Amino acid sequence: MPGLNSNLAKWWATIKVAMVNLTTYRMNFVLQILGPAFFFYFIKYNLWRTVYEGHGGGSLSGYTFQGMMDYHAWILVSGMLYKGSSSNNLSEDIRMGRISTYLIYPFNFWEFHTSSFLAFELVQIFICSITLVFLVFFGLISTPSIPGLMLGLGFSFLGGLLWYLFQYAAGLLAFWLEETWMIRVLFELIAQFMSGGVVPLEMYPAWLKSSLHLTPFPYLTYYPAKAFMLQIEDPLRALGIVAFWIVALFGLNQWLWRRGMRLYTGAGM
Amino acid sequence: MALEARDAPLHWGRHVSFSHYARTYAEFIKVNAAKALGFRANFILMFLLDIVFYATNIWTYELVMQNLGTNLPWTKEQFMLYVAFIMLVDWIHTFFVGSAFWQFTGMVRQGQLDYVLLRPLHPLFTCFLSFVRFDCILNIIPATAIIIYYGSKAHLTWEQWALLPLFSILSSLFIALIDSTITTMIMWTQEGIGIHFIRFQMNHFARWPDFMYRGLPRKIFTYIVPACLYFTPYLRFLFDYNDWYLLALSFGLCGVWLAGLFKLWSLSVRQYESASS
Repeated sequence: MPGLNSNLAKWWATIKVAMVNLTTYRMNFVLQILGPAFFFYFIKYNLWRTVYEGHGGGSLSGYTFQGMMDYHAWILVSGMLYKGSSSNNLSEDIRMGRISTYLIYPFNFWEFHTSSFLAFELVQIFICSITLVFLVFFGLISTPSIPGLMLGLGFSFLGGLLWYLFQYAAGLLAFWLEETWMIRVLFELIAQFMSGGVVPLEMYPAWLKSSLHLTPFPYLTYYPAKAFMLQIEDPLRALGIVAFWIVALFGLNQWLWRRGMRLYTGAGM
Repeated sequence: MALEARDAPLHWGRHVSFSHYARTYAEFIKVNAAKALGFRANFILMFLLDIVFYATNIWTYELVMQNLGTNLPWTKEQFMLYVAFIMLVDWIHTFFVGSAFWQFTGMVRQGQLDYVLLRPLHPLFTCFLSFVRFDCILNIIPATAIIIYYGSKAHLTWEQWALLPLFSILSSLFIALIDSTITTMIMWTQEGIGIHFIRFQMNHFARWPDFMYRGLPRKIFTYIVPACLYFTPYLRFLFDYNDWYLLALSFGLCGVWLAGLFKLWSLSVRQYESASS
């Protein structure tokens, strides 16, 4: 299948270039590796230790102190796997008229940005592995199991894909808006709060908790963290919901692209 | 004959009067206001963004507060006033200097810093004070409303109310100083993602009072990398005038970090390789 082979070769070449871009600045790369684990210890570990000591130990919403540390560590890992993906470049490409080149390349706009997303995931898996080794080595979290790692990675990848599609949709709004970064930041704020990234969803009021599980937000960090901990009650249902949101967002992006292309003049917006 | 290597003969703003700086800053404000008024929808979006930010923050603290014990030095009302203080300082910081730290990365990587270095003003002034976020001017309303609400619940005296605006300005100045020093390191790393990550994490660390941390992290983030001094000293003094130690420490460290910032800047300029050359 020469057509498929050459298309896969284009994907792989683009992924390699994107990976080189992501690792170009060494100091920046080192900070990305060391920083999250370092601050996890200084902020989350100390903060929750104080909360639990003030509470007299025991459990909070079903989490012991070690359980809460495991949860936040996996939130950190799943956050690293999804959060870096941003549509900055995408919206600038649209506003500056740079997407004209993608319209004539044998590798379209969506393929290019999705390759960049895949490259980001590969680099982040490497960074997360080092963070995880650090956290386990210093006894900050329990040693993960292999099935937990595999399930968690799978859910984290789906969460990353979900976030990428969110960001892609926000970036496509550049066909209509001068500034899209506020939309992106708004998404991030809402997602951070509703995904269980700050405190576990078990601490939320019951009415909010039950409705959140139908939204895409918990599948960004809460479900991947629970997957790593092998604590998802109904993984097939979770997979079904996240798959639904992925398909829905993909459809939305295709629609936004077709509508946006009707407005596009090639001279920058 | 080879030329001897020497430092570039930059002005550094040494012979420029204070009134010249003041007039220049007035121009920065006018230019930024004109730019912001070109995109009126941004005012509404920024307002919405900050409302969501304030709401999620308050709710998060309320959730955690429900699980905190009662053996903390502050009452719940004082804790929430601390949160409201953070939001007000956040607004001041974002409005006056927040954007500059993001713009600095582009200035370094795209060579625009060269033009700043050649101007007869100190480059720190131009780099970190020339970007004023007028599109978030409306957000002073919710920030002020929140602090008035929680200040009333904490039953502040008139002296404490009078100190709040002064302390919020001092706090934002201190944070701007630390952030400027950290951001200057972009001239060494070239890429800003890691540097901004450090700034954000220090800000996250500071979002809880210092007594929430123990041992080595608390010492490091009080005396070396003073994230614990961003907000805590002001509220601690406000609630107890005998608790002035951290406030005095933050004033002292201001001087140290200011000297450090100027020194770091001059070292950074020496090793800076312009992208435009």
